[in-house]
Amino acid sequence: MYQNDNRDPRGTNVRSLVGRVHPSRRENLMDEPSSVPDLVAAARDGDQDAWNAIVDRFLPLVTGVVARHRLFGADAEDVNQTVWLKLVEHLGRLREPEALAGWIATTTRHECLALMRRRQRSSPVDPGSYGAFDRDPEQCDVADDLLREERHQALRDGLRELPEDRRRLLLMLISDPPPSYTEISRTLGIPVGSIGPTRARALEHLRSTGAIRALLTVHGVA
Amino acid sequence: MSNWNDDEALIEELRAAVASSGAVSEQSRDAARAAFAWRDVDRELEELLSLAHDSSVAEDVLVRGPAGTGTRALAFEGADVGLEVELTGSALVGQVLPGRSCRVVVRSAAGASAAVDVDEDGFFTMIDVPQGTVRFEVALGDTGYATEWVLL
Repeated sequence: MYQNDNRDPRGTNVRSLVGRVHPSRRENLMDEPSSVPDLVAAARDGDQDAWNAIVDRFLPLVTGVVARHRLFGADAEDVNQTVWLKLVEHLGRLREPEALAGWIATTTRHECLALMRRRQRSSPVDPGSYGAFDRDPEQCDVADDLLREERHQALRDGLRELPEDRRRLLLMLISDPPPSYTEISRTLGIPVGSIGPTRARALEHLRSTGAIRALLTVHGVA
Repeated sequence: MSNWNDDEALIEELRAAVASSGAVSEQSRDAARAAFAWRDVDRELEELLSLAHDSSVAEDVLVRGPAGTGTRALAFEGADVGLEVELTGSALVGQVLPGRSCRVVVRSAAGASAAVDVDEDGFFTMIDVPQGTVRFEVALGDTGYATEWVLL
């Protein structure tokens, strides 16, 4: 039932791949991407760099889901630590490493709700003193918020899947303040007249990435 | 769902997605990275005790009843060993199943730990339980069992 094989089935040397790409730096959106299954396989073998890359990639998702539950400070840190410890524990048993974002979002939500219910029970006198209880965590706008966190994660993951030139163009287009087409042309070495069409192709490519398709499939849209 | 078929809508949400990825705390990042040190290379699957019941997440309306009873019941199950604990504040009573004398350690991810001897019926009590994210370790003969992590 569980996949408990520590070796990467394709036999690639994931460790050296990960080590070469980012020996100590934090993974960011401009790095050459490693696939999540590759990172999970390397982490199963004990590769701290691969684990750090998983953390860098999915920490915004955990932080986002926790914030949606209006948990802050020590409570937020407790939930965060618990989620990552559980992931370490489950690394060898993840049946679908490519669905890691969903596992993380679900586990984080579960820990948030459990913590909030305990707080609610142990402080019946003045529930209003704790911001988290101003709203029912299960009401649908929170559910919408959580879906948004998963959408954002999928968009960031999809961006990583794009070839570097398209990824750089999209990152320039969304930077703040937005650069002029002249600046983009000079920086990326493409004619001003082809920025529009290239942007359209990059967005089309983004829609067809594995990360976006997986999300749409999970939510029954595709 | 907003419409990702629309280029402008997609660009807008992409902007928000990339912007929100910067809003993580360094404390969270450090804790997440450090969690890897708890990787149990040698622990066999059958030595892991899974959380089978947690009264704080039970959906039962009766259990959710009057708030503030303050006691939390947890049950962990493995292939041939189980562990049940009831926590009230920082004190706990527990039982290893099937009952036998052994030793239980409560270990927090922050590094605190407390150990207690278990009597021949499997019962034990502890008055100063480490808080935060903890796991229970049960030493039975040559075999070490550990529960999954749980936030107290």
